[in-house]
Formats: sequence, structure tokens, C-alpha cells
Amino acid sequence: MNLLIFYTLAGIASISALMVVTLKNIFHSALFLVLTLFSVAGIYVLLGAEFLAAVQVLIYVGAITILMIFAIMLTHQLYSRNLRQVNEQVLPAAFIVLLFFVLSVFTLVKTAWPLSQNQMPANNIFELGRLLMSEYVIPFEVVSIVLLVALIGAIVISRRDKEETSK
Amino acid sequence: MSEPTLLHFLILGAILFALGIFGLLTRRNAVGVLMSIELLFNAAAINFVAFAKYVAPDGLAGQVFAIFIITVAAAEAAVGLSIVMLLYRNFKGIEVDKINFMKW
Amino acid sequence: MVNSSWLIPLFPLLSFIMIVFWFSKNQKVSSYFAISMVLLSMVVSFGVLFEVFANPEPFQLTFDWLSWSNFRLPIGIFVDSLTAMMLIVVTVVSSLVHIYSLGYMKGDPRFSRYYAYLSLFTFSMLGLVMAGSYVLILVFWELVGLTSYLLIGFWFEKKSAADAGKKAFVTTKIADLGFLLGLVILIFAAGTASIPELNALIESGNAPLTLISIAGMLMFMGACGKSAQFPFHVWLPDAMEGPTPVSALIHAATMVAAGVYLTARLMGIILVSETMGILVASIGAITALMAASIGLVQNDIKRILAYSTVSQLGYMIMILGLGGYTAGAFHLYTHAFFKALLFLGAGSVIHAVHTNDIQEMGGLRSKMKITSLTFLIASLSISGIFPLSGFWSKDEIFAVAYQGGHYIFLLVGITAAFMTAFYMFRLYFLTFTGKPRDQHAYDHAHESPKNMTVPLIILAVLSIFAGWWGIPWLSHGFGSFVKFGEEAHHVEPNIILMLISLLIAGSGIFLAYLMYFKKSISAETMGARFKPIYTLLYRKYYFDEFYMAVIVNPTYKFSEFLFTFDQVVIDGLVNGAGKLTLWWSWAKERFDTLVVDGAVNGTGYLSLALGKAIRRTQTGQLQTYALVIFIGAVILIFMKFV
Repeated sequence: MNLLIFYTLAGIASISALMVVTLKNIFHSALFLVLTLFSVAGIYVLLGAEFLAAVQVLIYVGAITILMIFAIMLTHQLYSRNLRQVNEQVLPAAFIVLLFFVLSVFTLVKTAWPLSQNQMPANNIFELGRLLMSEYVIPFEVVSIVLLVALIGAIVISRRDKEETSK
Repeated sequence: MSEPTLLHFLILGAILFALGIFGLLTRRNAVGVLMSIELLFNAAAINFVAFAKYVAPDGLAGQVFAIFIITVAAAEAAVGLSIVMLLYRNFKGIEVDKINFMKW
Repeated sequence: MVNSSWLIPLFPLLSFIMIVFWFSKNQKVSSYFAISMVLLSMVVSFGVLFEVFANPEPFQLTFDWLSWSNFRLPIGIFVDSLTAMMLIVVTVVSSLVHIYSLGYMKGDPRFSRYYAYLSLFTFSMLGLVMAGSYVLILVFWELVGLTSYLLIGFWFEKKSAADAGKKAFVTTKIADLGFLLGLVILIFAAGTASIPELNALIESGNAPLTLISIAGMLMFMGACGKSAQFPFHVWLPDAMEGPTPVSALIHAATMVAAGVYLTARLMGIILVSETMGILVASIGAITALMAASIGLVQNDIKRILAYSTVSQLGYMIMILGLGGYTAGAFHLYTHAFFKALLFLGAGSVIHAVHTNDIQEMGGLRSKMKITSLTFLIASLSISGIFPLSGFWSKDEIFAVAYQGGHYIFLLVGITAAFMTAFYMFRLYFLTFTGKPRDQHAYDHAHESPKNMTVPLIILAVLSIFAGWWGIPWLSHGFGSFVKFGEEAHHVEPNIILMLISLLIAGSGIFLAYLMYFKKSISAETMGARFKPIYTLLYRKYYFDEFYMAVIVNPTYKFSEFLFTFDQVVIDGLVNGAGKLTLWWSWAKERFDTLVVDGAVNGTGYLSLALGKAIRRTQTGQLQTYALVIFIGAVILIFMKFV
């Protein structure tokens, strides 16, 4: 049963990802990205990470994808519909990526993963919160700073200079 | 067998990663590149969570890491998109292969 | 007096220097100073003569000119009887010529220079006869040659005169080569060049005879040049281009006698070397006969006398070759006076009628009495008529030849004597007797002034009486004075021989009388009958043509060849070297441009090309870099498995 769900979700995710990287219309790509992210959230649920699924939807879909769509709309050009969306190094990239994929699968299959028989803690959220505040408190703080810096950075970068306003 | 095994999830991760790389290398639109990067992030996160469930379920370290990934992805998306805005403002177009001022 | 004999040549030298540097503008002073100097020399010479009479020991004054370890070359003066006699001859004739020239050269624009040259010549000749070493003789020999050249070409505006001077100088120079060579061999063989030393060496028997005789023969070759012996005789007739007093002094009495003098000095070698003796005598004989034969048919008064001189010199050389030291010297002594007289007389005639051609003269006897008479006396003397000087000296020659058993040479001498008598009287009759052939010239003819006729008279007296010194019946005559060795030269007076020679001379005169005075035998028919011989003689045996073709023209051709060679080859080489250098520069420039610059530029070009190629990796495109990185990563992974 789970396997079936998995295959469904994985299929949707893969196909959507493929759409994301190949569609000519960037807007459609963005929409397919949304779909991919949703599928990934579903995968998380399957993996027993409910909180993470929720966070994924909230942050990724809710914020990041919206941001991207905003960016798309703000940088949209009229003629971009006729413009080629993939550059000239498609073939070597495709080849390499395929090679990479084959190698990865090969590695993954060959590796003897040390599977553990333990179970995950039942209360996911609780456990995550506890960990964040105790074991991973430093990374937690650092990430906060990263967010702060990113915030400042984004503002600074996209600020209009005084000379530009005078044009 | 009706349960997906670790391998399934890992392969899914690999697929997403490969596609993400492909998109990174081939997309002309800068935002497209950023979207491909999101794919990469997600693939990595799937891997982490899968490992958290099947290999080290006690510490939930994988999930914690996945949270961090999402956070950093957000930050990166913010900064990246502001750069894209700046590019658009200065060059009136965001085709990545046109941004080659560092060439010889 | 003999101790100061070294002064004798210096008086004329002083004259030369003074005239050249001070007196040249003043004609009178120049000539009078020259004359007084030479007269002074003459006086001192007489003093020397008397002293040598009294004291026959030769006087020497030497100093070392060159000396190093085993080689000495002393030079100095050597005065013996021969020298004393020569001094008299030279100074007397020179003084008379100096005086005569006052009249002959009057009005010549280069009057002073003429006297300067005469003085220089006199100095050189006197030095020559006083020299005690063959080396010193050579020095004066060359000086004499120089002054001869200067005087022959005195009127150098005339091309023939300039050419004659050149011819004389070149011919005698070729002969002088022999002199020099002989001198060198002599010094090498005998270790000495001094006359008395050499004679002593030969007498002692220690001399290397072959070498010495070779040296002697070579030195004789030089003598042949100066004395115009065969085959070097060609210059003397041409030398008649010079002024007549010059011909009288240099080419009759003195310079040409220098060769005879040298041969006499070489007597020591002649006496011990049969080869040399025969060589010398033969050349003398050939010359005597040949020159006399040419003189038979010439028409230029001076040319006839020139050939006569050559012939008489031949006599002297011949008899010297046969060992007749005294005879040769004696003939030289008498010949100087009558030949000088003949030339001066000819000069007088030329001065009067302004032509040299005897065919245009005639009947001058009535117009020029003194000249005519003195000329007659000289002609008789040279023909050997008793009791004039020439008779005694010629007879001495015949006697020595006969006594020595050299009958062939005696015959040659007698034949030449016949010819001499004939051509002299032909000359006399055509010039002074008969009807004048050129009436205009005859009308203008007049006797010469006193300064010309007085020397003629003096010489005439000498031509008669000077030879009496050598009358063979005298016990202390010429033979006991001028001799070689200790013994007095004494030859038996041979009456038969004397009569024969008188007969021969007389018949020669008679034939000339018939042909040119009585005109009973026609000269023209004789000439026509013997046309080939006549032409041969008239053209002087074609000697000049022969020399021109065989020696002179080839030399010209050779010079032209050398000139062309220089132009083509040498200049070609030089220009070729220049061209080669130019080409080499061009080649180097090409090399530099192509190879060197090519390499340098090529390096730069290569760098650029390489850069251009590699530059293309810097696309500036992010995705390219990403691709490359990713490829690298995949490769690393791949390698983990391979």
C-alpha cells in the first residue's frame, strides 16, 4: 500500500521536476515546481516526518515559490516566449547527468546500508523541538543569523543607488 | 513487499538531484536556474530524511538537517532573487548566458 | 802636387754649384767662371803629370766607406800614369770645348745651364779617372751617363733630341747591368773592389780565376755600353742631336773613352783570362769594321764622325783585348785630340751653313780657311799619315797585333784603316772642295769667330805633335810611361808594317779623290751597282729596326698587358670583393628578416594563437564553469569504481 503511494508521489515529483527543467514558459516551470514541492511534502509524510512536511509546504511552497513567481513576473520580457529556454550545452549536460545518474544508482544499489531496526520517536514535533534547543542549538542560532544576513543582503543588493534615481 | 525501502527513497533523491543538475546546467533564465537549485535542495533533504528513518531513527538528526536545509534555501532564494532583480535592472534581460562580462 | 790631386775634380764641381745656385741669371759670369775653373783643373793636372813622371809610384788616398766583420769597402783616389794621362786629355779637351762654346752657343736661351752641365760633366769624368775602386768608378760612371743624357737632350723641344737622350740613357743602362753584376761577383770572389788590390791579388795567383774572369767579362759589358761597342752602339749616332761641342767633348774624346779606360783597368784580368781577351778583342774588331762600313755611305757630317768614333773605339778595345795596354791608351790619347778637332770643325761648318748634310755643302775651302785647313790636318791624322799623331798610334796597334801573332785582327785593322781613310776624305772633298751644291748656303757662309777658331788651331797642333810622344824609337817615350806592370812596353818598330799601312791609307785617300774630287769614278753608278750592299750600309745594318721589333715593342706590349691586367684582374678583384661584400650584406639582411625576425615574431604569434585558443575556456558563463566542475566530479566518482 505504502509502496503504491510512494510510486505515485515519486512519479509526480519526477515528472514535475522534469517539467521544471525543460519547459519553455518559465511561469509554467514555476507552477510545476510547486507541484514538485507538494509531492516532496507527501514523501516526507510517508517517511514519518509530518512536521517537516508542513514546514515544507509553508516555507517552500508558500514563501519561496511565491518569491520566484514574483521574480518571474518582475523580470518578464515580452519576447521571451519565443526565446529559447535551454542553452547550447544541453547535450553534454544531458550526457553527463545521465552518466552521473547511472553511477549514483549503481553506488546506491551496491552499498550495504547499515539499516537500523529501531523505530523513530513517536512524537515528531516534540522531539524536533527538543533537539533544536539542545543538541543543535548552535546551528539553530547560526541559521538565524544567516537569515538575518540574507535579509539585509537582499535589501542592500537590490537597493537603487542615488545616481540611478537621478537618471 | 509493500513498504518502500531506503533504496526507493534514495533513488528518488538521485532522480531529483540529476534533474536539478540538468536544469542548473541548461536553463537560460536565471530564475529557472534558481528553481533547479531548489530541486537540488529538495533531493538532498529527501535523502536526509530517508536516512533519518532507516539508518538512524534515534536522533532524528536527518530531520533537523532537513529543517536547516529549508531555512538556508529560503535565505539563498531571497538573496539570489534580489541579485536577479539587480541584473534585470542593469541589463534588461536575465538570460544567464548573456551575463558573460567576466569573459576574456 | 799629386797630394792635392783630389782638388782637380772639385774645381768644375764648384763651377756647377755656383752656376746653378748663383750665376744662372748672368750668362757672362757663368761661362767665364766655368772656363776658369776647368783651366785651373788643367794646370793642376799638368802638375800632377810631371810629378808622376818623376815618381812612378802610384799615389793613393783611401778611406773606409763600409766595413764590418770580414768585409771592407774602401774608396779613394788612385793616381798612376794612366790616370795622369787621362787627366791631361780630359782637362785639355774640356777647356777647349768650354772656350769654343762661347761662340757656338752664343744667343742660346739656356746658355748658363749649358755651362753648368759642362762643368758637371767635367767633374764626373775627372772623378771617374781618379777613382781607385771599381765601386767609385761606378758612381762616377752613372754621373757621366746622367750628364750625357742632359746634354744630348739639351734642346729637348725637338722630339728627336729628347728621344736621343732617352735612347742613350736606356741603352747604356742595360749595359750597366753587366757592370753592376760583374762588380758584385768581383767583390764576392776577390773580396775587394780596389784596383791595385785586385791586381796584386791576381799576380799573387790566389784569385779564383773563373769567377774573376766572369766578373771581368760582365764589367766589360758595361764598358761596351759607354763606348758604344757592338751591340750597344746604337745610341751614339743618335746622340749627335746634341750641340756639337758636346759631341766633341763627350762623344768623341772623353765619355766614350771611359769604356776604354775601364777595359784598360781590367787588363789584369784580361792577361790571365784567355776567354775574356778573345771576347774583348773580337767585339772590338767587329765594331771597328762594322762602324767603318756604315760610315762609308752616310750623308750627315756628324753621323759620319760618330761612326768614325765607334770604329776607332773598336780599335782601342780590340788591341786591349790582345793585351796591348800601352797601344790602347796611346790611341785613346791621340784620338781624343783629332776627333775633338774634327767635331769642332764640323760644328764650325754647321754654324756657317746651317745644315748637317754634306750633299748640300761644297767649296767651303775658300770661305772658311782655318776650319778647312785644321779639318784637313785632322783627317790626315785619323787616316794614319806619317808623321802625324794618328800614324804613330795606329801603327802601334798594328805592331802589337803582328807581334802577338794575331793576324786576323791585323787584317781587320788594316781593312778598317782603308775604310777610315776613304770616308774621311769623302767627307773632306764633298764638304770643302768642288762646286757648292747649295748656292744660298754657300753665299751666307763665313769663317767662325776667334773663340771657335783658336781651339781648332790648338787641337790641330796637338793632332800633329801629341803623338810624337809615342814614337817607337824613343827610349823614354809613351811606352815607358804608360805601361802595365813593371816592364816598359816596347815593341819593335816594324818598317814593313808602317809602309803597308801608309800604302793602305794612301789608296783610300786616292779612291776618295777619284770619286769625289776628280769625279772620274761616279759615286752614283757605284751606288747603283752595289745597291743591296749600299742599302744595308746606309740603313746601318738595320740594327735600330731590329732592336725596335725585338726589344722595344715587346716591352711596350708587355706594359700594355700589365695595364690591362691591372684594370681587369686587379680592379676586377677589388670590385668583385666589393660586390661580394654587398651581396653578403644583402644575404644577411634577408636572413635576419626571415629567420631571426621570423623566429621572434613567430614566438609572439604562437603565444597569441595559444592564448586565443585557451581563452575560449573563459566564457564568462556560469553554467559552463558549473558543467566543467560537474564533469570533474563525475570523473572522480567514476574513478572510484574503475
